Amino acid sequence: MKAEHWPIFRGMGLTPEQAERACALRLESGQKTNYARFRALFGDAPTERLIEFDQIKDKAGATARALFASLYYIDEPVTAQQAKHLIEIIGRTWQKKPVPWYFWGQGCDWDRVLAEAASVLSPAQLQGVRAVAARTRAGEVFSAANKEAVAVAKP
Amino acid sequence: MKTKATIIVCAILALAGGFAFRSIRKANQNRAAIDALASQRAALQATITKLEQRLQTASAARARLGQSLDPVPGTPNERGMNAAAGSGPSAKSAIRPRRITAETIVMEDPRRVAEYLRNYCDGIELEYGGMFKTARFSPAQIETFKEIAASSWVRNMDLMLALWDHGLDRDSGVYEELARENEKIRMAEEARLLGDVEPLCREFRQTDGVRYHVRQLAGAAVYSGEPATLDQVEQATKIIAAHCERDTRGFAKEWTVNWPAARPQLQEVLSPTQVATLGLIMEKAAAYAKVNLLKMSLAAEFKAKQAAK
Repeated sequence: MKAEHWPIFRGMGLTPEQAERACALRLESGQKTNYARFRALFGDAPTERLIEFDQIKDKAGATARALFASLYYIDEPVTAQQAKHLIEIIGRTWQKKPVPWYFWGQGCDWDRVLAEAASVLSPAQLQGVRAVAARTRAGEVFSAANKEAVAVAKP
Repeated sequence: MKTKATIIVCAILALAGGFAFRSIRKANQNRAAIDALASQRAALQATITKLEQRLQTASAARARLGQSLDPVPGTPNERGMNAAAGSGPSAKSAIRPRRITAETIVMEDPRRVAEYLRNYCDGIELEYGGMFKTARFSPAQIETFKEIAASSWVRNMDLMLALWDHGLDRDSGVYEELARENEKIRMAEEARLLGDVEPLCREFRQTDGVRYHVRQLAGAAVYSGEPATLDQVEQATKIIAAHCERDTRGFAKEWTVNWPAARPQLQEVLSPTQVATLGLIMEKAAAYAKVNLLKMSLAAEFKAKQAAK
């Protein structure tokens, strides 16, 4: 939890000590963050960003983080504006998959992401997203087969 | 009379020219057909070589499994589809009915294998993009690298299915031994392709467990706004790997990092926030590794107890 949240709190403008405290507060409150207490301790702007983060963290945010971690080799670091747009796009194209995933990208419709992100990302970054789309399709070959295997196993 | 002769000579020449042109055209067509057939033959030859290699790996695996295992009770019909292929040492081996899993379904369908491999290769830069850039691979080298990776994946899957047919899983020592042999084939193929940069590429692969954690810094930039460059990721990976233990195959065990020793060096290539974030990431990796090791030892203990009963 701390490894994920500490840099986020730092990115919200909290000092290292405040980020430590914010992590502890998150740990204390478990799934339901006490936003009022967070606001009292750290102010309005970080709280608004935390609320925004919580709304997207489970899907689009985590997918965007995994995406840019995978595309480190492109060496065109993501800007804050690009990240914001991309998280919105991923959030819109997110789809529920009832079968087990074989690749982290499988939650998302990458063809739609590619179409919508064409004006947001650079050509090299788009090429990277195409690679993710390809790996997602590869994962889907196994997901489909898994579905068949489960159906065969059922009496 | 002279004019008539001239006309006849011209007609003969025109006819001869026509024949010559036709012959040349025909010869060119034949040559093109021969070239096309030659390239098809080369492609077929390459496929045959790959299939032979695949067969050799599978046969070696079967022979090795046949020697190391006791037969399993059951009629030939109960042993499933692979029993039909049994002869020599493998006929006596412990072949079981093949489990129906996603892996068996995919591997028994060439179209699905082809679809998987096409997409796997199209996304190969997600795994090796850093290596392609650092070692300055040419587009042709990248294509050959993809072919090698695809062949190795197929051999590994064949191996895994052969093990399942014998009631073993990936945790077994036999799998490790056979996978190591497969790894040797891939490494030999890569060494031929890579030449001088082979040591660099081997090190890239052997430190990829570390790199996986370091590149999370590039992902964290989505929120922190502090990007991690390719150079930073590679340098930080080198520093951490230098402070990790290696396994017998030379792979860095990232969960063993001596963080107090690595930290001052990391401060020279990363920002203080990135160093602190990476510290937390590595701490998390070590905690996961501890849990996994504990799980594995408990599973081994449980298996041993079950076997003793």
